[in-house]
Amino acid sequence: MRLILVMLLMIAGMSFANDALSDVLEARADYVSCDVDYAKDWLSMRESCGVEENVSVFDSSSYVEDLEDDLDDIYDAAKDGNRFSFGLNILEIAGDSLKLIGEVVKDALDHKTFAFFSCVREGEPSLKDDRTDCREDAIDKEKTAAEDYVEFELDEANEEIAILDATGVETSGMEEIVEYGEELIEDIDPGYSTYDPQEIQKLHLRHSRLVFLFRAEQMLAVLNYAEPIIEASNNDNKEEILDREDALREDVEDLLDMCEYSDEVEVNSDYAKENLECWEDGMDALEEFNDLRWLILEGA
Amino acid sequence: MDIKIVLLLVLGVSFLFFGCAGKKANPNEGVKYDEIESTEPDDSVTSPPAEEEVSDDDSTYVEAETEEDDSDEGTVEHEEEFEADEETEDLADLFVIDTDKPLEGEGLDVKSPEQE
Repeated sequence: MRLILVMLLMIAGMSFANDALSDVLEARADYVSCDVDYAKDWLSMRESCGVEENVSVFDSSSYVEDLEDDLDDIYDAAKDGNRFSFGLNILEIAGDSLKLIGEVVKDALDHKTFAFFSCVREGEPSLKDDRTDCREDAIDKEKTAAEDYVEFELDEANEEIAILDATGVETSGMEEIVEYGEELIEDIDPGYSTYDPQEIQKLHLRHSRLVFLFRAEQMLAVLNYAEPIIEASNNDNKEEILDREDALREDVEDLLDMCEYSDEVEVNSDYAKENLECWEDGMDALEEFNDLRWLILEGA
Repeated sequence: MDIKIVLLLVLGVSFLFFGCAGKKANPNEGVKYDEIESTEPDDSVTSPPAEEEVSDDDSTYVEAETEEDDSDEGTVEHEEEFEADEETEDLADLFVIDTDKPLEGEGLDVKSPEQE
């Protein structure tokens, strides 16, 4: 029975791929494509103004091509549910977008007339309206996918808690994080319904913090459970395991203090910076935790 | 050269390579948590964990090398080298945790060109 429980835990620990991940990433890719389409339409409108007002504008075709290639890569990563590749490709398109903007600014200083700028200014509002409609459609799609995604995560988390609980691990810390996760789900609809990217990002930042904290609480729970068992065992690596467990426990407890959850995100960049510190420091702990497994087995 | 001498040479060389081979190095042998400098983690869904670099000070430890994981999550799979009793295996199997970091709203702030 115990072996079955532990096998279930291993499966839960590895986690089935979240079916909603691709949906979330594809919705986000749709959102980014709204900006790419806007850029293409805006450049085309600007070129028309150049012809109309008899001023030259730079050839933007290579920049557009780069954006389109980047967008293809983003959609590929989304379809594969590959978060890492998705994130990298987003950085790529962000970089290429800034390059394009740089060229636009440079070109604007090159023999342009007031009439030309007026022409462009007049053409912008309808393009922006189209972009707004496009973004809202993408946000609506992402909202549904995000709810499914977090629901799936919470189901997995509860499964993991049940398995650990049945083994005898004290899981109250993990349960508390799941409760915060349930509150996050309640906030998804109102947050996404603002259609405000800053508000939507707040939800993602909270989500990231909760995922980290759940894993930190899981580590602490397992370390506390394992310590007396290792202590009473004849494992050849007992002393080293106990020393490393002590050091790791202290670090995890410090991380849990440092990264305490708040559902209030006042300044996104500040919360993001805290998340980065939590994850950077936490990654060492997560890897050490995984390494302890081999030390235990090796000393058996 | 006499065939018997050739055969003896081959057997002797084979013994040197295979007869002297002992237990495979445990990638984690003696590696201490507080002596490890981890590189920047790779949060790919198929990524291996960061390689651990051991300090040069007083280390006699084997540098930790891990194999790429085929699963969707950032856990590590090692070749099973240990014969542990069931109870130890059960305990060890609790020490498995995902290392992938979620996205945090990437793509929401990609800039578009606007009027100069």
